[in-house]
Amino acid sequence: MNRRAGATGGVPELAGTALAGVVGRRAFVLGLGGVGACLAVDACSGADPGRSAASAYTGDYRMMALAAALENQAVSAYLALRAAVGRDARAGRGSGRPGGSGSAFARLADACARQHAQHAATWNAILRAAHKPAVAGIPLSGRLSPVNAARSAATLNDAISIALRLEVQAAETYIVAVSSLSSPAGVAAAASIAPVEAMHAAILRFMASDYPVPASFVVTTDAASTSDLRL
Amino acid sequence: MAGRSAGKRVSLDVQVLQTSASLENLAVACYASAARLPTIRDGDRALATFIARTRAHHAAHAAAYNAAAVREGGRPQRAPDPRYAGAVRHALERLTGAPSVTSLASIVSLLEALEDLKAQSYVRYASLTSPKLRSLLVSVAAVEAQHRSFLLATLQLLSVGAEGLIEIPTDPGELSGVIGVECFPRAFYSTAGASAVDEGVVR
Repeated sequence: MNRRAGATGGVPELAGTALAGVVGRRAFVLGLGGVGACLAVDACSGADPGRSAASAYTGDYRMMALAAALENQAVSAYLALRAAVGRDARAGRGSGRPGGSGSAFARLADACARQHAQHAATWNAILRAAHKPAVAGIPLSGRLSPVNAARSAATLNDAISIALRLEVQAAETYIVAVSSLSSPAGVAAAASIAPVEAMHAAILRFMASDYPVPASFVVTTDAASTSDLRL
Repeated sequence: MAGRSAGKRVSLDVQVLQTSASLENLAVACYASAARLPTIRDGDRALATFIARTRAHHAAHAAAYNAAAVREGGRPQRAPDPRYAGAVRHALERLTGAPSVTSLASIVSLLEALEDLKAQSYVRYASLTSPKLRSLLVSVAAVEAQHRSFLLATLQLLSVGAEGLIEIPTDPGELSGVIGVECFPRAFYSTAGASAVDEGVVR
């Protein structure tokens, strides 16, 4: 499909996807910058948990905000895992820690983190286009637990396991979301991102020496819920 | 939007489901033929296992699409996608007598292209169908994308002469510098190569 790009210009990363022309360049770039700035200070914690009564996000926008928060969480977790790998590589440690035999994982983590940042930027671009605030940080219940776990990953298998849980949860969340969203941009985004999260998961399983495609269909028992959102 | 099938108007949902079933039927036939090729039959055990299991996944997808088509008042599609069936058959015939190294990479490339075609189609269809079908389409798209990701990893390993790592379990420490973004090349799944929604309707 070749939808015309919006007034702000096309986004090269979205060319050839169902999102082409739906997400404007300026909003997308703003979203990427937001992810970077948030992660640079590593202190963006999202809104206060007690603010849910007057949330700016209702209906579709609540699901989109959840998606942005999950993507921010994935970026933070991968960066933490990457840092653990780098720390061990510099220390010259053996295979017990992620860096020991984990340079393949580090390369994978970098690639996954970049793609998750693009996903977050897309969700935030859609939110901004609807005059909703972009989601910074990880405003989720239990929001830092995967990131903290990533920081203290003790082995390569730990690192892969943490990353895999995040990827599986994201893919499952999008598979649930795609049937509940009514916005065409939201449906296109969820449908376009879910397979990419699933690809990340398949390669992580391969690296963990597990079968890469465990079932004919993706079950959704671990999908995140909008009730997890603290906004 | 509605098409015609055997003189009856067919809803867009039924068209999508029948076309999706036809793509799955094509994949089942393709994987079955690939499994019989000497390069696979007498070669790497991990790939032979992957081909057998993936064929079963596609059979399950075809069954799910056909069951949904019947629930929507349509007929099940038992035939392979007509647009690609001939090309896939010819490609597999050409590979029967090819040298094993060439043949292996070509077989994996063919299967990877087929998985990509199906994933692109289902991602596209999710934006066209009624909401109740979207989760099925995206769930299957995610599984096809996973098949593709492993096949892309296999191609990467073949390209650097690391066939020995195409094993499950593999040696993750040896994958360094080979496995990465090549196995999930884009942040958003493309839909530019999706099949037309009415391509595989029951005629």
